[in-house]
Amino acid sequence: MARIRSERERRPTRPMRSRGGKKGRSPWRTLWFYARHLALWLTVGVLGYWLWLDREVAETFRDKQWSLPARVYARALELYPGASVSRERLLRELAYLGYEKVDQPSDRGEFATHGATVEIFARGFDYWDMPEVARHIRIAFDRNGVTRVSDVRDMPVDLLRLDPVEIGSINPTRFEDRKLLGFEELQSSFVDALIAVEDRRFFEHHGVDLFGLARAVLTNLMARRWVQGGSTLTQQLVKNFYLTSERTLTRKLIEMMMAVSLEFRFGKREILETYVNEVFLGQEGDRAIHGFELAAQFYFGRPLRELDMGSVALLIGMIKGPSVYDPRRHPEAARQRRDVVVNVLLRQGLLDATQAERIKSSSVTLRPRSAKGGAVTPAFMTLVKRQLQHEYSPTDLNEAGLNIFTTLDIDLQEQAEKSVQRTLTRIEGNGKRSGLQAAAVVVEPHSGEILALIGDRNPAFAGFNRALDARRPIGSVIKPFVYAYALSQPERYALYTSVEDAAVTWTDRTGKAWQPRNFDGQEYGQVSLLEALTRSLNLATVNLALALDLTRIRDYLGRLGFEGKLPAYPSLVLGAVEMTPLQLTELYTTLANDGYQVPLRAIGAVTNHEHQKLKRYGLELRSAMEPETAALVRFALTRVVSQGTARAVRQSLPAVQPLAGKTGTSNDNRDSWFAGFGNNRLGVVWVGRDDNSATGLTGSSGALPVWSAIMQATALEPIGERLPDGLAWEWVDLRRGIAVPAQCPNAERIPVHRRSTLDRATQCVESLAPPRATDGIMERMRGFFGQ
Amino acid sequence: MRISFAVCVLLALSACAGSATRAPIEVRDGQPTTAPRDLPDEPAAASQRPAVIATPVELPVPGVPVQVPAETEDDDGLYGASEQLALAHAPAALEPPRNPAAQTLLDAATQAAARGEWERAQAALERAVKVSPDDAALWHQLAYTQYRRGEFGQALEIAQRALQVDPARPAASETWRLIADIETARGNAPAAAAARAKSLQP
Repeated sequence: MARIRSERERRPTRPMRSRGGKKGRSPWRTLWFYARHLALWLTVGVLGYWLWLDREVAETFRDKQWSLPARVYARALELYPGASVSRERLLRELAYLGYEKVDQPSDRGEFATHGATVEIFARGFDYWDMPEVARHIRIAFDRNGVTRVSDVRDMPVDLLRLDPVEIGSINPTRFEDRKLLGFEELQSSFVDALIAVEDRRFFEHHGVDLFGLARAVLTNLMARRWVQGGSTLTQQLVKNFYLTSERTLTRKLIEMMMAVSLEFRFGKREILETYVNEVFLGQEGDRAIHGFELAAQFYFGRPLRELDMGSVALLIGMIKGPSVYDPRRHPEAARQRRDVVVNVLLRQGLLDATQAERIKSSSVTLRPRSAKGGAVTPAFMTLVKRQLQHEYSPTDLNEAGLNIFTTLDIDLQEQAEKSVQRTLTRIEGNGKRSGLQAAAVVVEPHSGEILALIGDRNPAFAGFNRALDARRPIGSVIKPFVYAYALSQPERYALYTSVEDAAVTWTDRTGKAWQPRNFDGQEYGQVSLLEALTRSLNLATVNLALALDLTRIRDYLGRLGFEGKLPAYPSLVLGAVEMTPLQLTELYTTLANDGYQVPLRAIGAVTNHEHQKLKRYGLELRSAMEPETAALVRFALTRVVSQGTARAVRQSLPAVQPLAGKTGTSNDNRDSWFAGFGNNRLGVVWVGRDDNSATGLTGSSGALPVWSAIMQATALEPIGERLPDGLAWEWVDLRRGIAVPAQCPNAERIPVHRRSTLDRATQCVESLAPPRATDGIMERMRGFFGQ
Repeated sequence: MRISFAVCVLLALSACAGSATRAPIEVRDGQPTTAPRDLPDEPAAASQRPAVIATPVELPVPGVPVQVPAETEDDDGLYGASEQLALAHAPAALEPPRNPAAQTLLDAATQAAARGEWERAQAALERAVKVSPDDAALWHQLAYTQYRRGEFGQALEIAQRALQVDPARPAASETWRLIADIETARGNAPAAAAARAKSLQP
């Protein structure tokens, strides 16, 4: 612009001169005349073009919208005294997060272990609800978990949330991935090194470094080939942003003009910041790795600020050729390039000789490629995506930089995946079975948060998700809800109420007879409800259901949330109803949670790229069942584990008792189910075949061992003693249905509803004596059967 | 010749004009502009207003009757900051000793509530009940935040849960009072009266 103005100032003299030219008509003068015009129009043309470029540069640069795919995070680990987090669990979390083990933590992202104590310099995280600052803490453990959390001055810390593990991003369609860093987040050592290597005079030049250029030209001439670029950072940025990689002189000139414009309009900080976020540093499949922050995590599994100088030097060196110097594919080339960079830093005085030597003698340690942080847990991600797709457009998910905070327990997920694989292999190894498949859901019953989800025995499989989509007959896992209907009428039914386990034939309207049998083919006569559920007796259950009225049971199941077609046949109560593992899990939260059903959630909150909350998915409760009813059924299910069909659970988890659980097997052993819970975890497992063929497995030989293996890997807590208000513990002789003194041989401590009529004996009764014919409840039962 | 100069001058002027109309470069204190414009930001207005804080240490009685409009879409509570009550809180002396983590979260919730940030309060309380699910007072506070957010259905369910977690709790009568308020807000007068009667029982 300065040049244009100076031309204008000279204007008055020009007409005079040209008039003079007309008079003289010397050929030199004519030539001079045309030369001047040519020069002028050239200048005008170039200036005009520059102006146009300038506009272009300014607008696109200012409006530059990075495309930032949504990031998905696992739940953060919460540390507080009393948390059931083991030392090993914490150490695994730190490994997922890429914390570095050192002797004495001095900066973020480092930790040390001293015996049972773990010392962490936590990174902190900008959680929308309660931000966590970076801090240096110590955590002490005992067998049950965390006993003490304190800071370095040994002051107690009540609560700490670690940064969340990133489990992936929502599959962007055109994949340019990056993580943004602000200029003030860049460490000066990094900036100095970057500039030393790529553009020494960055803070002095105005977009084009004439010295550098001259030097490059000279070097290239001397070497007679292209050895040095001489491009400034600004020029590189312009090239990446606006131009193709074509190498022509015009291209170079345009690049320089744009670079000068950029420098004229924007500050050094802004240009450097954009460069740091834009630069291309690698490729993984169709995903392009842009920017230093993402590259740091992609190659080293840690944020840029935590990298040592050697790793930083490697990344800076990779600018020159991300694929040639890819440390995974060409480790030796990458290492040599790193050492070249280190030498530059040494010459520039950014490293001293000892540091440089130490780096050069060290090897390049990379994050293993398969580690968490890439696209993991496709089964869980499917669920997350399904929920998000209802609420966000694909553009938002692929480009708007959303943060998705999920409920996934990354460690439990991994342990569950291993448990499923191992257990299925073992089951198949036992006999001549093959082709087994499995699905599993693990939730926190109080909150409904989904902690782990298995949709296929191969955890990397991203196709058919059995946990979400496989609807299979549920077999006996339905029984607790049938008994719940009975027990919801405490005046009529208690756990000690007896029911007849005897053959029954049911004929439908077409005259087709249905004759259920017990699993072992036996009949047990009069048994208590508790015993019938403990042993999963089919005949007793069908007789009970017929007494209760099938239509009412159907209505009750509907109110509890059973969806789909519920048949009006007694086979309903033996589980002739199809459900997905996820649906069944939600129903079981009712039993684990004192009758409150908790809608299951995979997402806790969504925030924008500045960590402001966009949406929160909070806890919901739905009272589906009386707390007393739920507690009675829950007690019965603990007896299933302690002495019934799920006894194997007790053997594999002897230290965590009582636990509640129920096995289920569909007709001809096609589907094997297990649903079970402790105080803080609830899991449902299905094992079967995709072609629906018989597996020869029951609930207790197929799904149960898988469930046990998963639960062994979590900090499972036993079910507490506490009963809802309307129940009390009583010593009861179940065979006779009366309360007896605690010391009697057949006395069993069970919860009894205060509204149930319980006859009391003051002395032990002969256990072999037949039940009293005058038993009030039996009277009512008979009356009912007779109706 | 003249024309060429004129063009030149024009270009020069337009260049000047170009630089004059250039938008000032915002000083960005974080990342380059990537703000997805169509995404709603958190309604942070309430948090920025200087809240008249009934100090969180002072523990107001829960269920202080407030006339709550029957329906609201306001995410951050029903009232402006000046009318905020601190989060309802049962007298501490009556409560069993609380897990320190749960107490920290309860304090955070109380402070958020005092600023009118009911959703933040709710988030803290949900974390708290995960830490100690058997602590009825936490459920009570959670019910209260839902009530203040106008989520009466959930408020009622959660208040019932509070009662059921520990029916013998000395402060249970306050939960009954809260239930009475919720029922009043829902327009269920008989249920409100019944709950109020229960709150008066010893």
